[in-house]
Amino acid sequence: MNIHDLFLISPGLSVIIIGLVALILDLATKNKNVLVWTTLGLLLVPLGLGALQLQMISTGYILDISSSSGLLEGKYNVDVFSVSLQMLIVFAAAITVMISGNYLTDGYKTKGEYYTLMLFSAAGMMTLVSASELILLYVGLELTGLPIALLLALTLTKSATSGALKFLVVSALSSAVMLYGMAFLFGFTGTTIIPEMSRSIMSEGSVVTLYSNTILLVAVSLIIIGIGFKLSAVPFHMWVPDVYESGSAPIVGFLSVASKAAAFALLLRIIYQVFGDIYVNWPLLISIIAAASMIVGNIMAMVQTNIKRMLGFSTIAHAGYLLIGVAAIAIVQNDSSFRLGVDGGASVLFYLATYAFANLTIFAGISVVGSRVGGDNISDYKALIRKSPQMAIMMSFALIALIGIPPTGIFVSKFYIFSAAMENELTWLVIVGVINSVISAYYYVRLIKVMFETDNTDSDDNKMDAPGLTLAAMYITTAGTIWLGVSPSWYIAILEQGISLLSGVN
Amino acid sequence: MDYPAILSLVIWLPFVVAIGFLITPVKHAYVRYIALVVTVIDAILASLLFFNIDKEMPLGAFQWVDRVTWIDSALLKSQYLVGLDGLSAPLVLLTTVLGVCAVIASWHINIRVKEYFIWLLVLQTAILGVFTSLDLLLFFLFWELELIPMYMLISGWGSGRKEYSSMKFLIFTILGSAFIIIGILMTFITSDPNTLDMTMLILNSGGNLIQLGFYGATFVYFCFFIGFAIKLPVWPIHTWLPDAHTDAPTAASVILAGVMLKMGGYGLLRINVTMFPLQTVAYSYFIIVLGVISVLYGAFMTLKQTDLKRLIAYSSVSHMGLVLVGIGSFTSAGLTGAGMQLFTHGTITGLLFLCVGLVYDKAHTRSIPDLGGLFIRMPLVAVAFTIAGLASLGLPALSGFVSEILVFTGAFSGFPILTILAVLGIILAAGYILWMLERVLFGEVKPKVEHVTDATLIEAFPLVLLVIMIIALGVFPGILIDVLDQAILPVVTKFGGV
Repeated sequence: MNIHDLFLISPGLSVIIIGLVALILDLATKNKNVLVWTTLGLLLVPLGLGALQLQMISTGYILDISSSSGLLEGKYNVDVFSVSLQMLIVFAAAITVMISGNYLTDGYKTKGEYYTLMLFSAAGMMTLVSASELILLYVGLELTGLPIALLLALTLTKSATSGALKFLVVSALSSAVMLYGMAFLFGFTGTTIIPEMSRSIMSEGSVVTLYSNTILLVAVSLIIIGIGFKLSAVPFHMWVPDVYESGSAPIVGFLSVASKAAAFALLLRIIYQVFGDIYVNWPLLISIIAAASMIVGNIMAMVQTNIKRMLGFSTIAHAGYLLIGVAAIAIVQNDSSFRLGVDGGASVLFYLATYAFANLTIFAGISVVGSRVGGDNISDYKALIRKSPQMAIMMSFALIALIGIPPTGIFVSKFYIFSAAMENELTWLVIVGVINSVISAYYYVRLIKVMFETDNTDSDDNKMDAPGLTLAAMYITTAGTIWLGVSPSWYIAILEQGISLLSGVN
Repeated sequence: MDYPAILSLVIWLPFVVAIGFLITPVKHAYVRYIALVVTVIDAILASLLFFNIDKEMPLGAFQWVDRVTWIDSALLKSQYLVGLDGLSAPLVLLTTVLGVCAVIASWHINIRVKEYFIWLLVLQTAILGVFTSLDLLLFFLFWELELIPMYMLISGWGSGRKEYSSMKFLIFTILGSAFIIIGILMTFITSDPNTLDMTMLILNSGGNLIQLGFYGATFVYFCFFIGFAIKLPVWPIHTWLPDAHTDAPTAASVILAGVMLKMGGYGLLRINVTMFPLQTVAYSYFIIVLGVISVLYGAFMTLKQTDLKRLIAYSSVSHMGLVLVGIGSFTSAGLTGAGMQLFTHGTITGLLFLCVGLVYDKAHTRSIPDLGGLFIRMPLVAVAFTIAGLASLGLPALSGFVSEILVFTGAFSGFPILTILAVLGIILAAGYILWMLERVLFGEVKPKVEHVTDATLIEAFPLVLLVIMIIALGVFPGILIDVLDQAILPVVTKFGGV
């Protein structure tokens, strides 16, 4: 491994190093602020490295490293797709560091470990989005899941422990299912490197026998089921509300944003590089999961009284919207085979970024209110506009974004996803999606209404002061929501380039 | 007159000031004065644009166009594209004039003043954006942007069952938006090359830009139709309107009835009629029947109302039915009448709600049995109320008469029986309006209005302004008709109407 290779893996590597630094710093200093600010400052390094890599890719310095002559014999990809997602994950980790302060004051006895575990998990996700080899992929998957399980249990309360255990079991189960599907793939193609797999399938190509078709169908189904758990898509969603309710807000926010991004990246990579254009009707499978996720998520969210549980169901619904984009990748040809399109993948990536901004804003607010009030019921948010106007306004704005009302990023991304689906003749799925957006308005607006409800008896003595760092995080994410809503063009251009490089289609 | 970005200035000025309110520590005492100045400037600019519109422009041409690329990707191509033509210019003028009226009607608001005016100004930008945007995505963006301010105004400063009413308003409107977005998506994806640019879509109306075939286009047509009909509102999807009106604060009622309903009518004229003329002709019977039902249903419902605001709300349902009758007729007189009805109804209903708002502020009741003898206690308001009422029932020399007669002449040749039924609605209108005026304004002074005082000078200003507009348009309807014809006549002649 030479210095060039080291530079290519440097974002992920530096996140691990920052995690270790946080652990050592926790032993060395008693001052919590030093720990937070150092971690935060150091997280600029992977962000900067990622930006540098993007720049180098666009100027042609980093070339064609996905081939077997590339890094780790082509097992680790550094392209626009992976680097842009890595930056999103690091960004989500940085925001999580900023909003964790509310919880680390009393509940947790441990501080350094918290940051270390969170950053290790982020490094796992970064491996996941870059890996194009099954074993490396599996390592990334486990590195993502295990620290999260520990983090969920870190408060050591009864509910937190049971939630963490639930997450651990589901995580292990889904990994096992996915591993089984991977084994089929390996058996069928004789290689674990993803780009070579598709070449192997293609070379069998013209002679698609019933036998090979069945094997592929089983492999596809098992892998989609395994990923389905990570995506929190219906019918693999049972764990989500319980884990969301029992976990601490920053970790749940991180889980809902970064972990989801990594899982979708995995799904996109496998679809674009392995399954895409073979004749297995995966788009139908994905469409059904998408519709079910939207319907179940939105309807269940309507009746929740706990805000984190409600957002748990909301995240299931958003997984459904995202899956519309995944289903839209396949362009149906005249002979009812598939061709792969760029728009579906790019719209999913754009949605992930806009969803990350909006969701992190809300979880930042929840982390403050939850630690001040000591509960997560929707009624606890009553008259938040009086107690903390800035938080109430920014949270309302994020909720409006989640409905998909302009001028927010999610409005553009929903329109983008729906256009991609409409173009590929998934009109029924778009109609389901649009109707679900209407349903979702009910519970999001209900929460906004609660926050703006004020009795005149409320005096000003129960002001709720949010910590400066959390407020700063909320300002950053809100600005991101507006920014991507007002000026989405440049980001879409990057993502389109990423997807077309990933898939080799234009 | 050709200043770049002047139209964008008109649209965005209220929004920028609202953001200014949000981020600067401006004193509550000054907020309403600043809002007044801003809306007055906006109204002056808008009237300049209105009186300088080129009446000879061909179909699909627009003035004061601002065009900036917004999204440019392989699939999505959208622009910030705004412009004015004969159809949108009157509605922009109406919006800004009623914006001034709304600010004055909010003069006495004293809870959360700053927040209130922020929402009011954002609302104005959103509505202006709907009337001027020429890119379907931008149109939808503004269409949705209007939602949250109105919801906040009703739920925050309303009365009665404001939570229920505002939520009902929101859910109905979002449901309508869902239909509209499906229509936009299908128009966008099936047009070849893919475009959201309304100027191109209008030019190709009935042509081959939208490659849907007749029945595909019919599906899209009805997606748009349902979305706009909820906003208009049309029986049987009008039920949100009486609730929202009744519980909204006065200024929100003025905007709601005066301008926001017109968004539905504008959408029908701009998108359904202009972009899908073949479907409009094919389904004209259905549209007129819906219109006539709305006219009659609204009129009958007004007869049994005892709440003044509810009464005017149902009369709005009735009058907006006439817009549908005009659209369904697909004649130049009918369509121009529909466009004019949007404008005149905006001024008349705006005036009615302002009067009711004043009565409610002073007497603290809107219940008709509690009111009486207002002519003695508040003569100025009573005169304005009477003029608005007479205009509403279609008295000649007032503006309502012109638009109604245009609609009826347009529709009569093709649909005589339905037109006669619609005229029946107007006769009912004479009944309920005169009966309401008689009970509220005349007779002996009821105890509740014993101590009310007349409108102050600043409160009287919007009343006078709107009365002047109503009389001016009744006497010189050509001011408006010539402008509207620029946008409407080419469509009719192109598709063989008269």
